[in-house]
Amino acid sequence: MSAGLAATPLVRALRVPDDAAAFGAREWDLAVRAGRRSALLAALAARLAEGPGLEAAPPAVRRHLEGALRLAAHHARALRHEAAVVREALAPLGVPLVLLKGAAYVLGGLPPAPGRLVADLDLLLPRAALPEAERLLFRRGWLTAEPDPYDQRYYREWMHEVPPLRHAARGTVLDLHHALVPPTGRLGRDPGDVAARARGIGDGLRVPAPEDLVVHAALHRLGDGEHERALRDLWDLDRMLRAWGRDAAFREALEARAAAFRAERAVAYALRAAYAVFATPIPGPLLAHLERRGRCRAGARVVVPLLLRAADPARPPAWRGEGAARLAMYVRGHWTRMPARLLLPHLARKAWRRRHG
Amino acid sequence: MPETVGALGRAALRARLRGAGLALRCGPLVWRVRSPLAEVARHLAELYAGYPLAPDGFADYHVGVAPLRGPRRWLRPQVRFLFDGEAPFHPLPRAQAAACLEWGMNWCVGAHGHAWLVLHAAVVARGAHALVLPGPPGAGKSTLCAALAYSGWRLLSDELALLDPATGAVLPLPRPISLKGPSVAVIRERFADARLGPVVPDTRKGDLAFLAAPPASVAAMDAPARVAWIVSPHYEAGTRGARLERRRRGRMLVWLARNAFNQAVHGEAGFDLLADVVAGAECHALRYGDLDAALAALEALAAGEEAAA
Repeated sequence: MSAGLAATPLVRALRVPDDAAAFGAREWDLAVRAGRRSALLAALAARLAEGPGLEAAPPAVRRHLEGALRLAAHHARALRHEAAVVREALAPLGVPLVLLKGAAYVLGGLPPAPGRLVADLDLLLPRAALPEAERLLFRRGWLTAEPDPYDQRYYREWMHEVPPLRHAARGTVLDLHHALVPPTGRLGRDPGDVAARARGIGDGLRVPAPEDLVVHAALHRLGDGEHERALRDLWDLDRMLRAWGRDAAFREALEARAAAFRAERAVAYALRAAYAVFATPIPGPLLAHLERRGRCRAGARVVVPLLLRAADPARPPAWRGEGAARLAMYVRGHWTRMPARLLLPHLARKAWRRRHG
Repeated sequence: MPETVGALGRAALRARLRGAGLALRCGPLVWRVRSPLAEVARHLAELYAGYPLAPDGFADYHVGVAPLRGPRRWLRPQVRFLFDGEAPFHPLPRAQAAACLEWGMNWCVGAHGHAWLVLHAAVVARGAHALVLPGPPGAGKSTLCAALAYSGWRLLSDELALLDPATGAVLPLPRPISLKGPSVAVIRERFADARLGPVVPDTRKGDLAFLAAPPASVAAMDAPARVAWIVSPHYEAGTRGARLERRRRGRMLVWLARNAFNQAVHGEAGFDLLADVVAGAECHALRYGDLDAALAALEALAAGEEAAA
């Protein structure tokens, strides 16, 4: 267990909500700030509500917790509406709509749902259907949010999703994926059957199978450059593994799917990180199997601590070590997505533009 | 242990701003402010003297105004607003450091204050009866609010009306009023006791100065008020007098909801709350070209209500 992150008031309260009843003002101060930063304040409120109640917090803190729950409820309402609108717009395609990440958790009522904030709607569609999907969505007011031609090319040539679409009137963001991992990446390979294995949740919507959701969450955490939300990703994993991990069929399916994605390494790292922070129960044989197949027991000693440092919302960004850890994870995230001959020019270009804008 | 910002003294104030932060309270909220800048310290010393200091521990918002580093600072010094160490906005010229703090403090409430339904409106009160003045920038909301606050009304806020979902009342947040362009001179000439900060030219809102909240309003920062009147002001330069026209409540409700910061976050309960507030208030539009006439019209409105009560 990592003493640093695991000992922070936010993580302690998320793990054992009853412990929060003994918090002083200073600990609440840290918990609210870390929660706001990592988008986990509403999750904390939901945990307290099902445990000791929001009354465990002093009135000034309770106001923030109640506000966070309101915000999460608003996100869920908006998400339900967007999903209905998109389903109607894409009906002519005649393909199932598979929700990913936060949208799947919240609309599917899955374990990470309580207090989960969802800013974007992520959808998985067959690659061949994407051009027609973009045309249909454009007619309903969805425009590209990445007008820059370089960024457009970056997405379309190298990524597993089209550039984000933003609705002209509502400002909501829609991400269309054709795979769970970039085709150029080394983190894993999408076996192409996630949609076929997905489960219906009514209203013509589907969510990936539990083991695919876990593999995707792990791939996303290891491959994504945005580490501000890293703690939230680990919390999602914790919720899913706690709910499903005792089921032998789930563990077997997770092993098989990690292999199908060639993502044993990513899943092993992510599970180790979740354990280090939230004491997530990880079946020992499962982890040993993943690390043997991924040949990454040694690598975990380097990558997992880096991941934990980058995930710590309690440290201000001015802290230099964190900047370095975030940069290392940013470069690493890209490294796993692109071959070096694409990566180096890309990072150089991004750095130049950040400086000279 | 000093109890107000003013009792702290300039040196101790600067030390706190440079160190662990100055925890100042306004109404239901505590901001912990950090800044190494002398002009931020001066702004707080002059315009926040009567505000209570909060005990160490929990603060609602941790904010700061910091200078940007890098070679450009010698040519064109800039500052940025920090919210818990992160910079949500573009930097501003250093001359606008105080405005940067004030706008940033407003932003905290608009973006994160989901404990309340936050309307974009000025609010003043007579006793426990609140007058809400909603209006887009340029409608004369701030000028009218400043004039009212120095003519016997109590200031609750010049920008943010916090509606408490539990009671439907407005909670005061009496911070300095931002005055733009010609209204700076209007207020300065009219009210000798008005305490104004320095005029900053050329902000993105034109010339700008902050006017201190009247001490009596600061002292009453914990006294909520119920909405009795909703009046949307329309300043029409060159016209004479002032006239109040009744507005339909339905229209006012839609208009207020659209101009709230977080109506959607509150969902159906927020709609019901706002509908109840509007149903319990008299709704008017105020067209005026003359400030004295506008004050008199609102005075008459308040007298009618008090007579009826």
